[in-house]
Amino acid sequence: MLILEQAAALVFDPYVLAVILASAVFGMLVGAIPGLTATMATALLVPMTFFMDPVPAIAAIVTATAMAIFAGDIPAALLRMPGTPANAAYVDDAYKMTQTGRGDEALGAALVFSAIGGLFGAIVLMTVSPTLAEIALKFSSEEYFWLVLLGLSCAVFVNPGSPTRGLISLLIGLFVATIGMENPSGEPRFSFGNLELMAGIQFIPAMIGLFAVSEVLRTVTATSPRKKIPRADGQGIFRTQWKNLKQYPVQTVRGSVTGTALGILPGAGADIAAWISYAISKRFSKQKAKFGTGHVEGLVEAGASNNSAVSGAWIPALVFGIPGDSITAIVIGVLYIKGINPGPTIFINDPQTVYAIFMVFILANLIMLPLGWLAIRGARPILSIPPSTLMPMILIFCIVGSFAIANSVAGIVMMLIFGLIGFFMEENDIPIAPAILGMVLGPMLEQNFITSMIKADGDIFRFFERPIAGGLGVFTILIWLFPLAMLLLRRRKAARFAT
Amino acid sequence: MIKLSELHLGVLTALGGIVLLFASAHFAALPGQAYGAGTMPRLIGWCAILLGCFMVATSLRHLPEMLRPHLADWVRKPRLALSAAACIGVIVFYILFAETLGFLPTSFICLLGLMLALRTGWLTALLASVVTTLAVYYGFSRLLMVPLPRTEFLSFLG
Repeated sequence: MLILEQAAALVFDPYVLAVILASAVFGMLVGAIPGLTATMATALLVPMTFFMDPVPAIAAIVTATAMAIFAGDIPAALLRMPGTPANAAYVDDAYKMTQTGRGDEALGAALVFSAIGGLFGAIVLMTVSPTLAEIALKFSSEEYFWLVLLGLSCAVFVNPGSPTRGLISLLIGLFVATIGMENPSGEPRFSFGNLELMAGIQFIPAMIGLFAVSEVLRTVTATSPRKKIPRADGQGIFRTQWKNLKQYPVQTVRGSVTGTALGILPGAGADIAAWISYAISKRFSKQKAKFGTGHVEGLVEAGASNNSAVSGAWIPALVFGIPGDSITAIVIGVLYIKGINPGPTIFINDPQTVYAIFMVFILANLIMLPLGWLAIRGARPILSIPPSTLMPMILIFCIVGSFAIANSVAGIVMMLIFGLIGFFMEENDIPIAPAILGMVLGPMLEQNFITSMIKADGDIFRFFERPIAGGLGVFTILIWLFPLAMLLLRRRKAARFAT
Repeated sequence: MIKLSELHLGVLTALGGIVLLFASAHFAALPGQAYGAGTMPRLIGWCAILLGCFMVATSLRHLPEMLRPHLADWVRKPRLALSAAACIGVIVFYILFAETLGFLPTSFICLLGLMLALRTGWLTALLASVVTTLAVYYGFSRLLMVPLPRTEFLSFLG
């Protein structure tokens, strides 16, 4: 009890609360700008944390990242420009909801379910960190291989159109992920001697190009004038969420659990969590056909998932000093600078700091609600700007966002190339989402596949030997076989009817 | 832009797979191993070939229809085609001139040019271009420390 009191005294200090508020506004701003990620928000905060005590320093990072992940939904819903990769999974649903006058509901869902997911992750972090971290550490390359393959299977479920075109998109994404030197033998691939390409395709400019630039091109080439976006239905940002919560309680819990579990796995994180949760949501939904057309269900589940993953990533970071994602990698560095060594001993040596961090997680997710409400209301006037004025503005944001990721013109060139590819793909009904998924998961798939093949000496059956790997493998194969079995069943039924 | 049928896409995908197989043939394996930099591209290549063949096989049933290329509607309307070209042109202009001119004039020219090309009124275009350029400049350059290309003669703006 004394420790909790000490932790509360550390957090509820006016200076710490002011830091939390300021970093919340900062995170909201960074997340809302496409091209600037939650990781970048953390990196930008590091120099400022040098002048702070450990608790406000960590509070600043925790708050900014939670806000940034949510804020990425604002341009995603309003302009089809996902602010961070974690928002890309459900961008089409959010955008289409806005186009039909349900923008408030879309953003309200993103806000409320992000906060719920974040709070769920924080509670898990507080209660079962050590046990969960121990399980996660048992994951080897085989388990990761199957997990990534499971993630890629999501492309089949995420894609609302033709599965063959979805697969083309996935293969494009996987190919793009092979460009550069980041491969098992460190050999430059498909880089043609270009230094920028040797470093691999930068994900953010590619994502901005595929989603936003292609959308600008589609808007200016639309043969029928764009329908005027109906005014918000007046139900407010929060009011519709009570209905959504009552309608989708399973989805909320499932998204939060999936996000936290994936967040714990080193190398996974909010991006993958959102995609997998969206796919799970569609797979088990009674209204599968509505996904991708402006349906809130996937947004509820994936929105809860990506923010709970942020909390989940802290579990291995705090318990073992192993970063779950790039943000916690920076955090571990900050903790070391502050003289706090993350690992099992942190719970013995610095329990009040650990509990203070837990409290900050709760506060950050609560403060998200009023600040998010303000941000959504502030961003709404964008919709009343006519496309002929708005599209050039979006293009400048795309250009600067692509430049910002590496402070290089190469980012803008990549954005343009991917914009044209995205435009071509959409003109030919090839969905963009699987390509993004391939780009996100490609490097992880390759690394774990090659490592596992070397370990197994080429024997594919060794991929099933470990219990968790075996379970994941069988599950993944069943998922792949399921549509095939359904197709055969349907054909047999049709043949029976015909005779 | 030509809208491709399942048959066209199948052929393109299979061809892409073949090119990928050839392009990754020279990648070396890890020392003493059968796997290396070429493994993944080759796997993707084989998947593309299989997928392409499957698409071609399934579209053969509708052959005459599948062979006919379709042009997108906007291609036949010069104004829309020009609007798309203007968007691409603006990005190319920024890539070529931002370092020389600096962010402020380049962004202003891009915004004003594109807004006028898309038929925004003069006054609105002028005001929106100035406000957006300054907002983006101060937001990114001052607040988020992104080193946008500087313009010497406008250095008094910060």
